[in-house]
Amino acid sequence: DTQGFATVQRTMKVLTTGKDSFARDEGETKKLETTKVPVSRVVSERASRKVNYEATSQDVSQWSQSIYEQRDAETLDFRPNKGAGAETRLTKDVLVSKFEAKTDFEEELAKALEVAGMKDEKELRKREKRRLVRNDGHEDGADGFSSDDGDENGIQGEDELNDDLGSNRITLEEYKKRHGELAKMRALLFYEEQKRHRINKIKSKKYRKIRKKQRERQKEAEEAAALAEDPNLEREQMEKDEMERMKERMTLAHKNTSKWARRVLRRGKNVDVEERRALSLQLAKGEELRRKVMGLENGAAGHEDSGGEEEDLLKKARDILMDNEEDAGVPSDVKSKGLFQLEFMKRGMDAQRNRAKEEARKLLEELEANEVAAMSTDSEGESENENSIKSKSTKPKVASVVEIEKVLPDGELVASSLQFGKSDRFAISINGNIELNANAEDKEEAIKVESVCDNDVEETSSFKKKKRKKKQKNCKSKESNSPAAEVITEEYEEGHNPWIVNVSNNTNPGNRAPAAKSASAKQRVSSSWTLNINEAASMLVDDAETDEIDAKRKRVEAEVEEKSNEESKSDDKSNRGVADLSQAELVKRAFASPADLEAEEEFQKEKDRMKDRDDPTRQNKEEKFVSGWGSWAGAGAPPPKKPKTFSSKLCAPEKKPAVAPKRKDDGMSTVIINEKRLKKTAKYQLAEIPHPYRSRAEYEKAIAGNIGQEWNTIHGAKEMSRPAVIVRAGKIIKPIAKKAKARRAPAKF
Amino acid sequence: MTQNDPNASNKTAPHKKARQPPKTKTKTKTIQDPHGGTNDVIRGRSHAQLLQKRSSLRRSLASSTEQQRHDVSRHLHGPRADLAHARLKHLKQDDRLDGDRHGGRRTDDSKEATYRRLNFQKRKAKPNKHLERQMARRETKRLEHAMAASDAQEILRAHTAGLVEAEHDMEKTVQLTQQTLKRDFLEEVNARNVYDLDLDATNGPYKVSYDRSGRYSLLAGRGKQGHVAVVDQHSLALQTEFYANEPIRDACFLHDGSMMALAQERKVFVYDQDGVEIHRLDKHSRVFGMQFLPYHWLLATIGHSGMLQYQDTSTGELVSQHRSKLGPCHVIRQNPFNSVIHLGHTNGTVTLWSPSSSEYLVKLLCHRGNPITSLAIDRDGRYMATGGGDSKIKIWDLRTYKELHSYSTYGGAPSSLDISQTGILGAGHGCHATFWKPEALSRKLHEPYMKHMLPGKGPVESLRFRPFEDVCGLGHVRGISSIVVPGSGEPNLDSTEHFTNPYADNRQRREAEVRSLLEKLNPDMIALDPDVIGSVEESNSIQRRQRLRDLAEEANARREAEKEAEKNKKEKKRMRGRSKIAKKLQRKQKNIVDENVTKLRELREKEKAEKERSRRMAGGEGGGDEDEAPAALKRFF
Repeated sequence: DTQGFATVQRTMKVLTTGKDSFARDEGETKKLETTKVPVSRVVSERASRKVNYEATSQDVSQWSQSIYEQRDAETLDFRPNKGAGAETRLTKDVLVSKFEAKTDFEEELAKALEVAGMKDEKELRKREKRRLVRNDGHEDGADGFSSDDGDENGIQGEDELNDDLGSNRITLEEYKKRHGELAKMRALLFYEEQKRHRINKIKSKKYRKIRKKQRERQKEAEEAAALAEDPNLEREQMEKDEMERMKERMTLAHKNTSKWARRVLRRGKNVDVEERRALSLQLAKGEELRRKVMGLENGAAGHEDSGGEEEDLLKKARDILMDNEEDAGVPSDVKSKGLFQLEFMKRGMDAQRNRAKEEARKLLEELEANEVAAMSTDSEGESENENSIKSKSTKPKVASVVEIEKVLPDGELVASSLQFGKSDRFAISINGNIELNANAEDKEEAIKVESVCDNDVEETSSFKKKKRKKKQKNCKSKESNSPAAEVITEEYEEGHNPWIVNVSNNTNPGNRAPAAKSASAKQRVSSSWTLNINEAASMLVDDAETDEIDAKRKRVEAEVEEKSNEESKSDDKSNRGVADLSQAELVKRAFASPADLEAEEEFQKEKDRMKDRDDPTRQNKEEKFVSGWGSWAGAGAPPPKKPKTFSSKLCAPEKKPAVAPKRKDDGMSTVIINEKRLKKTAKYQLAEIPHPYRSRAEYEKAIAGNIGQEWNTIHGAKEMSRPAVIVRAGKIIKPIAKKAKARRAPAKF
Repeated sequence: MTQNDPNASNKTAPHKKARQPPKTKTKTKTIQDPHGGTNDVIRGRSHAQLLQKRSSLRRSLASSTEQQRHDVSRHLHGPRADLAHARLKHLKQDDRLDGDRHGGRRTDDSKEATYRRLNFQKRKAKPNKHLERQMARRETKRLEHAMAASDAQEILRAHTAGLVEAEHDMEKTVQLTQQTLKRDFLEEVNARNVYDLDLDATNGPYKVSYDRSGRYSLLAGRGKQGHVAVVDQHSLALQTEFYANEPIRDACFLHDGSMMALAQERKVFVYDQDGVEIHRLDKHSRVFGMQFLPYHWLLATIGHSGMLQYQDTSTGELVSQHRSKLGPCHVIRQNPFNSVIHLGHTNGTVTLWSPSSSEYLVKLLCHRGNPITSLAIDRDGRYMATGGGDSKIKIWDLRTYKELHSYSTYGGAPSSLDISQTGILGAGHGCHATFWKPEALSRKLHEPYMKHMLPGKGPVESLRFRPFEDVCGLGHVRGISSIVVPGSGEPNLDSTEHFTNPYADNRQRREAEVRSLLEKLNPDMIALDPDVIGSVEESNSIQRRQRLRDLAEEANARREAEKEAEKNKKEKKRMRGRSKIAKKLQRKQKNIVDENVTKLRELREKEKAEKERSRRMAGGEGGGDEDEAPAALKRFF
């Protein structure tokens, strides 16, 4: 200890001088204190080290910025004359700037250029400017004073001749105008193109349908206008239609007499929706063509079509019912004399009249029904289109509706059947049932008017044809006349007549969901026909599946399916749990062969074995004690030992039961995924996460992606595989320069 | 430096003020040091620029079309972006598990493991700015170049695949027959692909297969005569035809159209393009089905014994053989995405194999109790279609191993299935061939795309799509039918893929052969997830345990081997004296006679003579000697 040493020295001095410490004076003490003992070597060195260290670290920190920069750099390029610092590189600009005319030829050329005013860039620009200014001046002159034209043009003409492009000949305004026009044109073109593009992009069927309708309507209107202008055109049109008709007759494509149509009809309800739709489309087309020809023949307006004819028939029938003798087949003068006055003839006539009346009544009924059906189908077809289209198409029918209203006591039937047409078969049976019942009775009364007429003669062959055709449509309207139960029976019968099913099922997808819903509602009302309805509903639902799956629809489907399940299982109440299973599951269960079960069982066994093998907790589970082991055997041997049981105090504390690790194939009954480690593949894997990375995901991200030429552009591959340091052999690399740390600029207030 | 106060020696205050660099007004200032070093060697963008670039790239990507985004993602993550994402998720889970492991019980307590663990913990604890910057740069670059590549692809992808579409409701693509297709729609070049090749029925049902480029087709009859033919599909000319005199169970081309392997009655033979037998593979006996893995140059065979064998066709060695333990097997197909072999067994299961594992990788119960009759896997390895004896085609998702949906066939069980490059599923059942649109794999369709019937030609033995063409070959009892299935072939060639260029000449083919051999992959690299190569091992408890056990086994084996080597080491022979090696070498040197040696010898003899004379002289002085005496005195002796 230095201090201790100092005190000892001091006391020694005192002792040697023989003076007491109390007696010493100031001067003496001062003299004693002057020689200070230096700090020990260790301490002083430590201090100096510290200071030196700080100084050097300060010094070194001057490089830190540049070091950070270099570390973060993409590439360090030590090649000479490369990259950013390549001022010394020879380029065109460098050569041009250094150029000096030396040879005779070069000097001559330079002189010539100087004379022409094209010595360098600056001169050129000046010249250009001068010319432009002159040009403007000329324009002004041309606008203002025509008298100055002469000499100005003289000068200008030379210049213009020199100008190859002739750009000088266009005035600025002209140019602007033209430019504006062009811009407008381009904008218009672009707009049109965009529009076209947008329209072409629309893919929905509905949109296309509407567009098609629109186009047709437009065309019709055009044709009508053309007809009004030129009577010759009408004949042409007629001929054309006739030709079409003939063609159609030749091909018979639009009747259900073709092979394909017959096949479809034979297949009945098994036909899928598309085919059904196609068939109905075909028939409609045929009908339309026929109507066109007929309409023109009758001389009626094109779109008045069968309405006029039907009207006649209606009138005739009503006349008969009203007992209008005048219109009967036999003229009155013939009736009053000769053979007709005889008693038996009279009786015969009466009978004939009665028969005719009856027929007329039937006919009337049918025709009205026709009317209704036509309305319903039309509105059905249009319902998805715009309202305007609908109203337009229904317009020609208004007259017939009025007719019917005249005949029938109230128009409710029409209204309800219109409604019927809009939605589905099932929908009507719900909506209009009660009203229909009432209506039916009323109608019956209305029709019961007695009249006799001979109608047979009047019935033309064409009408007969029509009647046959219409019959199919009639079925629908008949439904509307009968009570609900009848509707269903008819439906059931329709199963045998595939065409009817086709008509009834030919609904647009939008209507299906409510249909299915109503089916389920119906089920509640009449249980005797549930099966049929279920079938129909499932058919509908099947169709629905082809469209995009709507959650709502799905729910309905599930509901229907569940109900059908319940229905089928209702007889055996004991097996209630099975009802929860789906249909497919039920079928699978019912038809599972022993081989299937065996296969499944075997598979499950194998899976268990595999699971057991990989399970590290297996040993804990195994019973460690094996009876018989470790005990005597043979005759007279003592009974085998029982496993030792220790008291709870002596027992080791019970461990938490180890949970078997999660496997990849857990919860997959038909899959075994082998968890065995592939030793050979592991050669190509890393055991631990490599150095700078801190997680697998990070490492994976770093190595992910392809950097090769096969996957990238050439530039990309080069960039991605560029080395961190580029250096040429033999290059002397200078040490890093100091760079102060970047400082943030002081905040401004 | 001295201190005035000795007490304060430990707490010296540094003179910070004096040492601080002078405050600069400019943001940065380069101080040229005396050595004249410069910092202008930095190339590329700075970090800030990179970040800016990245955000702009992301913005532009977000505003681009769906197709473009899909393309970019394809470039970034490969064809199976879904797999990459699932993998990343899985890895994150593993990382979490890893963290738990380090916190909880340790499995390895060796010094090295402890060091590694602590190191890792240290690494994890503090943020690594440098690494983050590096990652950001990498990500930006990758995104940038992926976008550039997808842009470039727009130009390269000149053709687009298209299916036939119906014009209106009346029309159906199913109704389209080959006759109408040929008559009304196809150009002459394509129309010639529709043909029937009527061959002798006794030569039995034919197998069709195409090489990778789709240029050559190989027909092999199962009849007793063993009819084999190679047809050039461009000229439709017969390239080779011969009779093997043995029924041929299966036939396939090797790496290209110049070599083919035939599974004959007993053995597998390799023939060249002229029908010359090159090899007989004795180890493959009674083979029923073969597949060639082009990237690994492996021929995988399975047959009567149910033994799956992998033969390297470049080195000729048998790489591995695995017992399937499920009896004879006829159905074998490779997954083009990961080269895993799928086997369809008679008990309705499908097993997945790789050469590196002696056990199956995955086993699926596909058709309960019904034999698997056919199998097909799509190009991206996403879907598998299996045909069973129950006349059903089931579609499986190979990522989740779940059944997606199934189709029923009529007229017989699906005897042959194939999925084209564009994803069209073709099924041969009875005398029908039915084709489904590519969407049929992902969701259930109610109507097939096309149909073809071969009345009276028996069941379709094999149905194969021709690569890069809209053609499908059907092999049956009466020969071969070639039909056109529009949209089934990949329209754009990939020039970087070897052996897929149908127009390659001989030189190109040879070069491709060499390149392909150089790029050949090791058979051990075949795994369910090909991205596993180069990544960090999995970390679930089962895998970890197995890894430790494997490591221990390895170490033990090594030690055993060392011990064994110690024991077997021979005692070194040590000689003494004359037989010492040094001596032997010396002796060898002795016989060499050159100038120096002769000189030396002469010198030595001279010396010897000198010595003798001197001795004589000495003796002469003593007793007298005849030799020593001068010539004049000799007569006195």
